[in-house]
Amino acid sequence: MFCSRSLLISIALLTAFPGHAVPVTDIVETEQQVNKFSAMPATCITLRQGRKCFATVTINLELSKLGDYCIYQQGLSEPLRCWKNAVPKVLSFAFESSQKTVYTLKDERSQQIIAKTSVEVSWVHQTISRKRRWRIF
Amino acid sequence: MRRLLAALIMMLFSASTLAENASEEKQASDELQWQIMFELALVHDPTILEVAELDSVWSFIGGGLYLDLSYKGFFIQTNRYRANTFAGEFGYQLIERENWGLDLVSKVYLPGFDPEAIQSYNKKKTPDFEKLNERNIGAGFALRYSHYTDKDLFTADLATLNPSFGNNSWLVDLYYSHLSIYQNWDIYTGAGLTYYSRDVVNYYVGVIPEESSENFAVYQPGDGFKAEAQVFGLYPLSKSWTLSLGVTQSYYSSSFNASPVGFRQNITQLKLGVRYVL
Repeated sequence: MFCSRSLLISIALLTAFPGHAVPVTDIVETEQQVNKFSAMPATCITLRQGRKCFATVTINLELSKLGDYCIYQQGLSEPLRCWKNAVPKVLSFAFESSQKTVYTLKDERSQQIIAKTSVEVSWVHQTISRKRRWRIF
Repeated sequence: MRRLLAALIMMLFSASTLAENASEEKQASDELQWQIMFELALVHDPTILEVAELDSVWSFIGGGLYLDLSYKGFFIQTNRYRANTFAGEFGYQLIERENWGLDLVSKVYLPGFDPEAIQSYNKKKTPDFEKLNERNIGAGFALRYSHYTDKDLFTADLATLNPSFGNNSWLVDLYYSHLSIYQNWDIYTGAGLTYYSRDVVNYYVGVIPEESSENFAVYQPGDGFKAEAQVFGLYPLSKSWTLSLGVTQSYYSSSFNASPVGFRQNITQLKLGVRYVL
């Protein structure tokens, strides 16, 4: 009994929780200087494949000059938030999606997308058809 | 007992015939499917015996290996007792339809105990406890009907404990579980009711004349039941780890509790743990 517990503890220590994935920023080359545009957490984890994942996502920005900026979520025509003649630094919002979602930073004066980032959705258990056999509780 | 066995065999044959007749509807998968989880948890898991004490740190550390495996209709799966690793279930799927199924299952329904071993561990000795015979684990075979939807599971086991307890030992075990999803949480609420036949209760909590003493009068109470309620939650910590927490409250009928051997009437099991999913 003690051996099995020690083994469990060892396994637990050896496979310590991995941190959230490193946020990916895709900065578009323009005259606008975007130093940082990243979302945290970069991955939202749900229990089962196909489920909606919920998280409070924070997008951190580092911009070098004042401007009119908007952040858009892929698939939505309305921006999540806009700033006028400002240097935005952070945006937090409630994330709710079952798939990878891309966020874009747009310069409203030039109408150009100047940076992109995304939140991935991953899961612990794959969805399988034989629902009664695979209880995850 | 013979009647019960005959009924089980009859049901088995009927089920097999039904399965063959409707083979085109059977959804059994022949491919190997498996899932392995390791769990490490803090638990409060008192035994049914009042005399068995939780007196070491290890008494409050639980968990283990949970294996779900299925191949050509045969399956091994973890059971519903989330507060301990009581035992798994081994079975064969006779029928599987969209919303219901029939299985032949082998599992342990009651844990065994050895009075002599318990005495050797306990600081407080109970006179004459060692005169009691060892109780076998309540292992048996059951015919299980399951009804399930995406968020609900109902099972009814008709089981014989004849291999372990002998004589006319059988039980009926009903269990219902409902899944509620709140954001990233899975919350399972369950309720169970188990009826134990007279010979199960007499064997398990009774005192036969050969075991009787000044402290243990002869006791043969007859049938009994257990009711239980359960709430269990799971939360994803990462792609491989989940947080698990739960509480199970069990209530045993007075036929258990009135035994001179000393059985708990109410048992609360608690667990807070983490699981690693392979």
